[in-house]
Parts: sequence; structure tokens; C-alpha cells
Amino acid sequence: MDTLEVEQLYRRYFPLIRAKCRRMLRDSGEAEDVAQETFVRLWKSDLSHQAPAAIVAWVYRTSTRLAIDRLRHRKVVLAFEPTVQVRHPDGVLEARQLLDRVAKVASEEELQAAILCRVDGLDQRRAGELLGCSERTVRRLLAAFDSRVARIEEAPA
Amino acid sequence: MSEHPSYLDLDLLAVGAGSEEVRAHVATCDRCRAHLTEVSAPEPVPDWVRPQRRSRAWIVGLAALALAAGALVAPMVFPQADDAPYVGVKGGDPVVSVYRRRGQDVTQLETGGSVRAGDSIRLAVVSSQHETVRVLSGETVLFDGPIPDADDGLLPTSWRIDDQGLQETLTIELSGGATPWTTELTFPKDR
Repeated sequence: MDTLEVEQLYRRYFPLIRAKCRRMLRDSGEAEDVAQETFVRLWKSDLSHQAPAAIVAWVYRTSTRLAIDRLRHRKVVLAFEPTVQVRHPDGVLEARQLLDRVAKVASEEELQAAILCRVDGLDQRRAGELLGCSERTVRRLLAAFDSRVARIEEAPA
Repeated sequence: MSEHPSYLDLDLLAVGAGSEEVRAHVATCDRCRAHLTEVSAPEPVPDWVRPQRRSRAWIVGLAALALAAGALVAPMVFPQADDAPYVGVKGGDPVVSVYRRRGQDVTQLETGGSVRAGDSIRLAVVSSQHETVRVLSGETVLFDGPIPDADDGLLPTSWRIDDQGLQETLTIELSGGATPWTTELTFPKDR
């Protein structure tokens, strides 16, 4: 891919990659890291000639997986400096706080379903299409995620 | 459409693959229009996106690292020039590389390279002889886990530099192999 193509790819996709990463991760530097990593993987993936819908779906899957890696190592990152909060509408902030709380105990599949449905606002059918599983499986994953949240909230501090 | 579309639907619209239903919703919804404006706004392309430039994203430099890893064994391996990015004692691995992100610019730190408050530091570790890596700052364990399988070797976390002290020192311990391996990396801190 030549420089011009990479720059076009950046202009078209990086802003939405970064916005998605900011929804998932409350530390803006961390979100920028994951956004860059997602973009560079896109750049190296040879997907650039595919349909935009396929690229966006790939971006959602890849950035979600990379963000989950970060969530699971979050304690280390936050130990260094206070985070910078990014404003989000509606329930995104609450959903993200739940993710922070259960990231180390929930399965990757549960976290993927929770991010796509609770943070990105996909319905269960669309989340299943993106994850390559059935709507019923997504429902089961979300129920498992909610159970973990409930157990954490019930546990004594 | 009574509820907001998902962010995926909005992002598809932003790249020209959205539905008419979503487009109609956006026309009447400030929240969704604000998101669409955010992800559609033109912005300058940073240096790390241009392949021929020295400043790169974390992972871009690591493509070269993966190729070079078989010829390196130095505890600290840093670039000297763009066309010869990795140097060290010949003979094999492991290789530890340190990347500094300052704003949008990512640089692989060279020997004596400095950091300052607000920078992020990220490590890449490649070793065919070890299975786990532990990173410490003093007595504090910053990372303890498997060496990444991916060719780039990037650890799945980064660390923000604070404004305390005159330097940052990281200890990297590799284990799970025949011979444990340790190195210490120190970076002076700019004021």
C-alpha cells in the first residue's frame, strides 16, 4: 500500500476507530494506543480493497479484542496517573464502568458481547453476526456477564 | 426508528454504507448527528501514518523487529538509522524494544533516550527461549504474564510517565526457559 492509500485509509477510518476506543476505555492515552494498534493492523491486513461495511465490521471486532486486553491490565495503567475522562452520552459511561469492574473475571466472549451490545449499542442479532455466533449465544453471554456484575455488587466491600 | 441506531450503524453511514433509515434518524437527532460529525471531520494525517517517516506507531517498527529478531541478543536493542533499525550482539534473541509515545508521535527509544511526564512507554518482547515476562519499576510489578505470541511482541499495556524523580528505571525479567534473563533499562527524565 503506498503512502497515499494509507493516508486515505487513515482519514476514512481512524476517527471512527478512535471514537470506538474512547467509548471502551476511559483513559484517553490508552484509547489512543488501542486505536493506533487497530489502525496499523488494518493497514497491514490488506483489507483496504474490501467493502467499507466489511472493514468497519473488522475494525469493531479487532478493536474490541485489543481493548479487552487493555481492560485486563488496567490496574497497571491507572497506577501511573489520573485518567482523562471523555464525555459520552447515555449509558456508555455506566456500561464502561461495569466493564472495568468485571474485566478480570469475565470471559473474553462475555466482554465482547457486553461491549458490542452495551457500549456500542448493537442489538443481539447484529452482535452475533459480528462475533460469528447466534443471537441466542449472545443472550447467554450477556446473562453471564450480568450475573458476574450482580455478584460483584453483592459482595462485601 | 424510535431508538438511537447503534454506533456501528452510524459508523457505517459515515463510510457510505449506512441505511436510509439511519440517515433519516440522524437528520432529526442531535446526539447521533454529533457522533457522525465527530467521525467524519477531516483531520491532518500524523507522521506515524506515513511509512517512510521515522516516527511510527507502536507496531509498525515491530514488523522490522520480527524480521531482525533472529540476529539479536543484546539486552537493550535500539535503532541507529531508519534502514538499519536494530542493532545488538549477534547470535539470537531475546530482544526487548522500548517505544515512547509523545502526543501522536511514537519513537523507538535509543540508548540514552529520555522521557518526560505525560509520555507513554510500551515494551515489545521477543524471545524463543522464554515463556513469561515480568516488568518491574522498583519493587512494583507493572506486568507479569506470557510473552505475546504475535510477531510484534507488544505487551498489552503501556505506562504513563509521571513527574516524580529524575529517571525511570524498568527491570525486565524473562523466565520459563532454560536460563532466566534479566535486564534493566534506565531513561533520564526531561524537565
